[in-house]
Amino acid sequence: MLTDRVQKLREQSLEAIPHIWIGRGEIVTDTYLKNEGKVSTPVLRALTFKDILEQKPICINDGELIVGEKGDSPAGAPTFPELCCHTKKDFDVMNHREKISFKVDKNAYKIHKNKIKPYWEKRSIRHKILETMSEEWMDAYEAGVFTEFMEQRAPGHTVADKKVFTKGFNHFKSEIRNSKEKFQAGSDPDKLDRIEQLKAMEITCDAIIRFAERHSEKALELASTEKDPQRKKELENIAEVCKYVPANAPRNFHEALQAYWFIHLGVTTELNTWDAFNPGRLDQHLQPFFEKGIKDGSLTKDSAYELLNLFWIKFNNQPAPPKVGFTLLESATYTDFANINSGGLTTDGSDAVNEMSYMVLDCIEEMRLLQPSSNIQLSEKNPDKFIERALHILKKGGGQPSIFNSDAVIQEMLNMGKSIEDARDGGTSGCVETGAFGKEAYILHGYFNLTKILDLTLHNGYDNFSEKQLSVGTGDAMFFGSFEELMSAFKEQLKYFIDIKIEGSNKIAEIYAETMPAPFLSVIIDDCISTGKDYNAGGARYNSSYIQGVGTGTITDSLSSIKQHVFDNERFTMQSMIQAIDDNFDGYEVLHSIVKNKTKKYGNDDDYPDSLMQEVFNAFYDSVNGRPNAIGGHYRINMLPTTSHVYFGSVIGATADGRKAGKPLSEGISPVQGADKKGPTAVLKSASKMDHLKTGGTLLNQKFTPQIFNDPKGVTAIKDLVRTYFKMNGHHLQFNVVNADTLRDAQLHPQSYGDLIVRVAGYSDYFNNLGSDLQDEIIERTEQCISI
Amino acid sequence: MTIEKNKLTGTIFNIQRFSLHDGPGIRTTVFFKGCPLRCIWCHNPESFDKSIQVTFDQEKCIECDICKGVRDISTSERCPANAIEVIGEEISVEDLYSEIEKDKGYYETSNGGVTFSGGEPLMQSEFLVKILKKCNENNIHTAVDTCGQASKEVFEKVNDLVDLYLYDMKFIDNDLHEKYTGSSNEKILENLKYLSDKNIRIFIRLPLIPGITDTEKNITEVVEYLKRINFEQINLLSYHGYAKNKYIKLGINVELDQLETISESRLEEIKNKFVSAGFKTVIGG
Repeated sequence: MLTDRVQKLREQSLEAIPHIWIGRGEIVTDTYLKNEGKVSTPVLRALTFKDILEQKPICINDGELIVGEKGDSPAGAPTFPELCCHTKKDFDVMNHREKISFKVDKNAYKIHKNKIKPYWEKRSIRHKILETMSEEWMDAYEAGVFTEFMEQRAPGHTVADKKVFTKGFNHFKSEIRNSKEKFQAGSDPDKLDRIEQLKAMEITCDAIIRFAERHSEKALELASTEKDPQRKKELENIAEVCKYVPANAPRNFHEALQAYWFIHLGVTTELNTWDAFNPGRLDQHLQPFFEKGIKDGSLTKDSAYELLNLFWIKFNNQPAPPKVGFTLLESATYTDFANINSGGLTTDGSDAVNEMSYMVLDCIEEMRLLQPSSNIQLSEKNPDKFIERALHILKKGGGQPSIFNSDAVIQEMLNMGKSIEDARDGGTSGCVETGAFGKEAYILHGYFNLTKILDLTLHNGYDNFSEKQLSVGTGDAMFFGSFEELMSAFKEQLKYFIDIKIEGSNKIAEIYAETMPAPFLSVIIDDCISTGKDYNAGGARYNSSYIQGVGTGTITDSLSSIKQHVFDNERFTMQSMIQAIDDNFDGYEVLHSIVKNKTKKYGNDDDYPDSLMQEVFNAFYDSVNGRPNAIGGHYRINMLPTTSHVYFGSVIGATADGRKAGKPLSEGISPVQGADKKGPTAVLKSASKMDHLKTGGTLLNQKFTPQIFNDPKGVTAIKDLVRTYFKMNGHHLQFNVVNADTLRDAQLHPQSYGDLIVRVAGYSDYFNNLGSDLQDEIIERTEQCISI
Repeated sequence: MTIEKNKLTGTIFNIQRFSLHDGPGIRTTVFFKGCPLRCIWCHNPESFDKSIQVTFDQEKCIECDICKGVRDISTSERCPANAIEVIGEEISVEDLYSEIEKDKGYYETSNGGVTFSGGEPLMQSEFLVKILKKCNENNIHTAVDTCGQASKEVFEKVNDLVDLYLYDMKFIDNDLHEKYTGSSNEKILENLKYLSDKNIRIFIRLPLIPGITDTEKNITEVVEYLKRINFEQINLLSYHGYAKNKYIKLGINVELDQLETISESRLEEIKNKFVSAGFKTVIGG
């Protein structure tokens, strides 16, 4: 049961209006104006961090026990002009757009115009990136061949491990000092850089401690005038908690949550890292505090649960940084992808499900918030009761928690050379991305439009959308004599664009390493302290760079169609096929019917299309995996779209599977919407023919009618589906439990469906927050049901 | 090594994966074509006739004239709009087994397997025996959903190969049985007794059709009859909607204009009668 306090704060969180808090932008500008050129870059970044935390308004909302906001108040979104300096038009768009809007007040416009923009316009990372990129990169980027994650958001995508729950910043400071002394005494060629980096880290430790103290002072100030004796006591307790953590290691459940929350605010204030930081394996971290509190009587189950609920609300108060341009198109959501894990395995490889795992699930069920996102890590060693509890929550719709194959996730990490302990302490974050929590920079570089590569292959490198010759010629497809010839041209085109993408990504990583270190984040990610290197410069123990493949279903079906109808059955020529797609099938009704109705399609456990999926996947893997990145690690692949499958579809003409021009592509590794006809067991079999263990994450969504979950045999069957998919090494599975009719009605009467949450890709969102193209795409997904 | 290719084929009209209501666990249900009964409420009129049928859907037709007006198996394959539909296929034991095997992983996790249904699978007993053997060899749990209208010899041939019978029961009163299914129930009840005496695992399945099979009299008679039978559980099947369009498409006379769904409360009442008799009673398949 949610307490009155929780209900009230939850309501406030839901009602808070996303708005721009311009204060951060202003402080950053002041700090740079004062210090740039006078101190080293890491120290400049550390001073920026310090100034923001010293000057930003302190917000303690009425009734709160866990305190601290990223902006001035709930739903206040800071700007990061050093990364992306908005134009006035950007602000206008944000202020007025129908979906994912942010209110911009007059003062913000004024400060931005007079102070922020003049300084950052030509200095922001976005400006530098767009200046530095090659013409080929710009052309491909603008044509929608790929997106670029770091063009307006910093490399982040990392997660806390248990050290932030067992150590305080005073301790980190002593580690930093030791490391500094070691380098000072040694003769490392980069000695001076490392010492500067460590100096910067130390400044950020003091800054976060001071930030917590400011909350302590504010709480005491509020307590002094508080009339309600109960609230007065609470405020005094908050003051004590904030005085103690994160300077010191938390002593109890309340301090553990508050310590993490300050760190969360620190990471997401320092830079606008992609995929908000998150506490990772929260049930593992909290269980010792929970047990201790219950044992010494300082905590009850109810009080622990209330604190956990309040912790949830803090996440929901922080909308993702406002995005513009292509980045908005690939990730059109307020959700910032903090994705809390529960379950999985312990460091020594045994079943990790504990009492807190179930409490986290209770919290997900009752809070029903978009943020934080949440998932269960399901190992063969975890009990059925655990997944059944999760399915019971999914049954109500809302798409949380998602379900991950813990055993596969661990294997993926081992395949990338991580230690077994680091792998077991890891999990998944963002949408579906595998990572060694607390020890890895696993940086996403952008979505890659696989279907567009086929389109370019069919047009000899010419792009009908941007009307440009985008790449090398690989021969006129009209005259290809065999399917193999088409595939080899495709692979050549693929390699051409992957080369461009990787060259660009390396340059961008270098820009961040040189000009935008993240000393605070570096304090809490191993082994940045001991190496004296920044997180953005390869200081983490593991450094992985990901490129995310999009459109698996659409490209597979398109290839299958060409292979089947042009080369195997010779029903029509390549000329007619290309002409038909160029004309969006106008005047080609028969051909269109044939490719739509007669093509063997992915998702039906049919090796004919499924082997083509494997060929595309392997070509993508071979062209990316293992290539060195700019920060001492390697490029890897994963297969997920967020909302980019809609954007990527909008930049491609019709496709050979019968899809009309501009329509969304298939989502994740799911089949094309409606192409799978043989039920969920067949879909999962098809999907499992992809070698998930070669990736850092794949995303499979299935839409089920609520009737299945209401069927007495349904939940058990779904559990068995999941368990079987995971035995086949499937990485992730998620369900939308909703009827298409409900969604159609919600499109017509949005006012009656304000709280309808659906699973989009690796995250859930309010149906009303989605663009109509994305709404349609979800409606068209196959609805799995039980035959009678 | 020589592999004897089995030329024997069966006629089926559907393979339904992820079936949850034809026996335990996740199952693949294979629908055999051809049935000795003509239950007027039947959902699957395409199962009546053993021969392969071709239907044509004018609404789907895009008038491409690829078929030149000839509607048969070969033009169905070429029909761009799937307006010409073939109902039923001849399938070899190997091909059918490879479809069944596809979900073996799910059967293992869920304690499921394959169910042969129809139509009446025992009508194609030679083929059924072969496919059952193949499943047995590969440790796939087998169920046969039968109306019971077959000779004892047929049962004798398949008994050892079947892990579970789903045995359909409609009426005890022979006149009613004849009226609504077109056949006497004499052999059906005899076979049930025979299986019961052999201690073979049986689930009884009773379709509840309002005003037809759910009458007080029929329920009481079924309960009484079952007291003499060894079976594991009884499944009460309520019917939703009616496949009237399928009848029209197939050109089969529509005898039942509308099929009502039994009410929840009546279903509970009937369930209680079976429970009181000491039977394990399950609503749904």
